[in-house]
Amino acid sequence: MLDIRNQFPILEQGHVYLDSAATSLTPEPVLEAMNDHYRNRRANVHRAHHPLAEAATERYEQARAVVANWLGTTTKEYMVVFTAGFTSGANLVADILEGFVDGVAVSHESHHSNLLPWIRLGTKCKEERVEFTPTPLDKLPEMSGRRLVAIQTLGNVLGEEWPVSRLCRQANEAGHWVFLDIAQSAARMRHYISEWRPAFVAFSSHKIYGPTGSGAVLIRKDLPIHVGFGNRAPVGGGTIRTVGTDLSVRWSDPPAIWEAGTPNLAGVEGMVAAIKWMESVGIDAIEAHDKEITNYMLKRLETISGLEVIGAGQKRGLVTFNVKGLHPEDIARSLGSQKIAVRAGGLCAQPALKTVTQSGLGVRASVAAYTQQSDIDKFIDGLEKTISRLQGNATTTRTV
Amino acid sequence: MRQRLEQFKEYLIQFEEDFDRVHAIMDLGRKQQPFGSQPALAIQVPGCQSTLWVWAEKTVCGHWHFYTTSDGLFTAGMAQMVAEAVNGHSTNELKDLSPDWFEGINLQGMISGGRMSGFLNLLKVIHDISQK
Repeated sequence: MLDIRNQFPILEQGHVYLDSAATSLTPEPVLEAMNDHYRNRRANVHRAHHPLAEAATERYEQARAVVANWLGTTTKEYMVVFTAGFTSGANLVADILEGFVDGVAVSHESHHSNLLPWIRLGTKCKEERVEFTPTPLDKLPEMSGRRLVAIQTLGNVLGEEWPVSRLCRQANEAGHWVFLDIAQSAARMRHYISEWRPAFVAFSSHKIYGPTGSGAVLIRKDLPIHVGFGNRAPVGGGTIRTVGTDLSVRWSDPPAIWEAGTPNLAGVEGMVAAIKWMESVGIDAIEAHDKEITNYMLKRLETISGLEVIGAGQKRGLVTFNVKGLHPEDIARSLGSQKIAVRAGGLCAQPALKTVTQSGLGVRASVAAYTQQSDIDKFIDGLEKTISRLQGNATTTRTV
Repeated sequence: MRQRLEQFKEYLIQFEEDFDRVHAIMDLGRKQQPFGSQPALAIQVPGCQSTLWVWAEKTVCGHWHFYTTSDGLFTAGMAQMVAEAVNGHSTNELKDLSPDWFEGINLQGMISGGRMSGFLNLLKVIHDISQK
């Protein structure tokens, strides 16, 4: 079990933080890196010829290799495009792909950000949208044309692990292009992108102990897509080589054309610091901790009467549940009042939850590298107190 | 309205612990109409988590009486406070209903659980019903 809790200053406030699937907390080294950027290294990239700017450009460009290597690939095989996070990355890919795919294949088990961009892209394709169920039926259907197949490593509702290696192989062999969502797994496990060979990979920095507002998309370099700037992708500074007096435009090559304006430099520095922090702790150690603490939480939850864990099988990093007769929001509010942070509602994955629950709602508790068994114990105590208060129909003796 | 809101404010600040305050609001929700009993004319307030229904009657004196029901006790309690605050007012009095009226008891912060502002949506529904 990892013991790194003291590196997370926000935890000194006494929170039991079990909402890491929504966003993770940030350790000191990442905070220091961003602070250092603003204090000592602040300058714009790609534009100036003074030492601060040249150093900033070098660090920014080197960050692409840090991201690629961390995910088990290289910048020779994949182009790393910096984004504002997973959602903007998925939308960028959807924008790029207009005209390059014949249709889309999606799963109702995906969360909205790995679903809605493809639903919209699908409306512009000639082939009808295909929906598939990857687990336990880990087989893609026969599909016509070249499809964008949207898959994910870990589900954010059930915490289930998808058979990524097999799905990528099936899709690649059939000539489809895989968009791999690693938002939930990025901080939990090792990735083998060169081996899996998805066409696209996306993640958010804020789920890997990094800052909000940054992330990246990896694009396989051998894809036969010629560079366009799409209908919605922002253009402006940094996206052009020249603009003539006749207003003719020569566009930059990627990734510059997809990184309009001044990038989120502190965000990228923070993201790199977060990756280096995870590597210093050890990706394998984090993965082992994640499995152990998730199993412990699952085991404790299963002892609570009336509590139903949603979805059978192995859980990774999170457990979603309901308690008979209680509304998920009431449970989360009550836990919140005890400084225990969980998530309740549709979990930004309404089709997934509606498929496995009657209400389409649930309570999700999710862990991270800083989660300790004592956090789980406090959570279980708080949950039992909540259930007792809500089920006991005890009301306050005071009146209004 | 101000008087009823002050009563709620005084009521809620009695509770030193957040846990007790949150559950006191849920207890208020137990006063609501049974969930599922809403009439056909009830309007669903858009939101992300709990389902909230609102409907109203107008008395012969021209005063409105609003009813709410929700599957979530917390939302029901918050809606109950809003309804009790606006009940007994006329169409003209509710013409300028706004979130400012509730300043001081932080209803907005507490009722907006989802990404959509449930509190603002509830006020809009009440306003729209009263001005039809």
